[in-house]
Amino acid sequence: MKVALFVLAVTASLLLVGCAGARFTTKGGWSSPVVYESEEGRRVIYVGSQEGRLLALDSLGGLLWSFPDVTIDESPLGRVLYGAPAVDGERVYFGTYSGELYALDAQTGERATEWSVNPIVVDEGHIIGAPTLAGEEQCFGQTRGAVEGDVLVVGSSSGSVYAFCAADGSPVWRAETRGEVWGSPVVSDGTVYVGSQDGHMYAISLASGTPRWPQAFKAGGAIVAQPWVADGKVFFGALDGKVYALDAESGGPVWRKPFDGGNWFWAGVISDGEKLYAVTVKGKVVALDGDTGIKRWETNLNAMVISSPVLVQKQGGVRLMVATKEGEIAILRTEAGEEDGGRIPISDAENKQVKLKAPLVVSESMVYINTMDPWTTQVVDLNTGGNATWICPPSCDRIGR
Amino acid sequence: MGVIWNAVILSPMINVLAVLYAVLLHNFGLAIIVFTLLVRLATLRLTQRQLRSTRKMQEIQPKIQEIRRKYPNDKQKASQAQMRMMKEAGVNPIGCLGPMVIQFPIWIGLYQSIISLLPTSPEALARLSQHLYTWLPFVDTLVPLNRSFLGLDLGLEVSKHGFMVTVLMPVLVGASMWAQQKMTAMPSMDARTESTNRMMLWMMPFMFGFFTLQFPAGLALYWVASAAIGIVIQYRITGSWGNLFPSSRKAPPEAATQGVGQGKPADEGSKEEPEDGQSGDDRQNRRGGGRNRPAGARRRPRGGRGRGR
Repeated sequence: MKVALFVLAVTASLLLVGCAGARFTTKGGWSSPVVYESEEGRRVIYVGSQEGRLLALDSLGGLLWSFPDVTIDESPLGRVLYGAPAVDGERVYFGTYSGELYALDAQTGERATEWSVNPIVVDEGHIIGAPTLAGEEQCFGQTRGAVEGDVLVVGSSSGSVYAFCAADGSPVWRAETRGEVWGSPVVSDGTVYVGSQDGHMYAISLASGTPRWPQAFKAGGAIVAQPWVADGKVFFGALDGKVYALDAESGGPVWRKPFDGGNWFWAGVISDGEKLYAVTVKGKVVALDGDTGIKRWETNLNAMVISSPVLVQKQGGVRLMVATKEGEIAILRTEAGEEDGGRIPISDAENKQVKLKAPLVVSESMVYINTMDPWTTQVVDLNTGGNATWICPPSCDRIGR
Repeated sequence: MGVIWNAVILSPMINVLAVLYAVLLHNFGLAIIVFTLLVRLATLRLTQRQLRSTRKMQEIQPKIQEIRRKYPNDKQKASQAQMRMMKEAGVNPIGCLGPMVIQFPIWIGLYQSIISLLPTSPEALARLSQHLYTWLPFVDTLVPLNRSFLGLDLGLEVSKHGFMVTVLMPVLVGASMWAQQKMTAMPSMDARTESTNRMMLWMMPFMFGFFTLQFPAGLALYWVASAAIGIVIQYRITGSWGNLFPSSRKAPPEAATQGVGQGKPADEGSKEEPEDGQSGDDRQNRRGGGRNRPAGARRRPRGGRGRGR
């Protein structure tokens, strides 16, 4: 009997260790692609792979370079990328889950030599949001490259927000929040807007790192999405299930009351100048009046949504594209929210549906998608039938998932 | 399978913990302790049955020895006779596995719940969003949960804490588990079983103490709380600390006249004295269990057989 007990205990223990080993600690990473078009009209797609590499692809999916370099069998970073890279033409900047901030040469993928420390270990936290580039006087005069004056702003799960001179990686300032910062900061008119899991939206001076509002705005729940700043307003959703609109100058609420969506708002909101579109984690899509917060329409996709939606031109009209976690893209008419045609299934080489968590990226009528399980980068051209085309793999088939 | 697991174990567990967290002033450590208490209360009947089964197993040990002696070379017959005797005595051979079996899914579920409720990665947060009941309106606003409790980060692996916690938590888990096992330890007259018992008594706590290092401090807290509550419940049910503090054991009235070892039924004890010298008493003495035996127990005949080995 005791032997049976012992065997049972060992089995359970192994089961527990098994749990720890795989599903519950593996970080997937879902960095969205960035499409950069040079002045000569050359289009390069920068994207993070699920195993921890940053890749540069041409518009047909050809691999320009990878970091770490897959062609010489360098090991991947192992620590994954959640935030999209920031690109300024000369360099590509990206943060990793292990809290490292890299600057790479955009042409070659080699570490930027102007940074004396590369990567910068920001702190003991994780970098989950994307780094944001913005021009700021403070970094002029310290530069040795074409990115003179740019400041790189990045948040950490330690609760800090950092600014570095993009040219040489020198620190500019550090601001504190009381919760983890997962969302990407947004810079507008010299102010950094960033949400924190302490439930506050912060406005920070880009020049000095000091607070811009008399006090940070307190929402009813944690903020993990990046805000949308337009027309003097800051819009964002929070995990209390509400969408807020604040005055960008004062931090005061603009709407009489926040919109209550009944479930977490994880994905970022987006505006077409008139209406604000937001999606709950359970797939409820709402269009709100940007001035009043009153609901214009609502539709339910009945699927989990983490990926931020995008607006795209299709046949002369504007459509809202929303990716569900289970690998479908819904196209909604912005007038009333009805679906425009069937959903676009995104599959892997074996025709199995993939996971969509990274924000979609639009360049003209092309929508770029970074998938998970397995990792692929695909593109949908809405003007040519809307079918998904792979751009990587097969050209990136040497890169593991 | 995963869907059933989520619906039956994981989601309810996550939501109960979330509600407890909300009620207990946003203290996740307290929520885990109260949750442990609730689990222990929910499995109280099983625990009672387990204790009863253990006690009965102790009682029929001499008879089992007798059967083994009777059929030394026929294992099948011995096993049949043993099963028949157990049936007559109303002993379920796997009766004591109940609470243990029940606890395994709870451990695994709790581990997953802690990881999910204290998300450090977007994946964990995404999973949590799928488990929270939307009809519990306030649970949405609880995220992120306060993960600190008595200097522990409940979501962080024990080995990633400071030196003190890294040393103390495995010791606490191991010691509490050892104490609980020691309390229920069943003395056996069979040398092999007795040696397995001894191995179990040390092996399990050592193993779990070691595993503690790899798991979040919240799960270690559950293990310590579960063992501590288990000890208290067992004391309340049996009225003694068992082998943990043998002096506290209440001898049954018959034992005083029969001179039997602990837990042994009065009608079996002295009559079924084993002949192979594997005296339970001797082992008791070696463990110090016989030092405070009731006065009557000293009258037990001793042939020195045990010593002669």
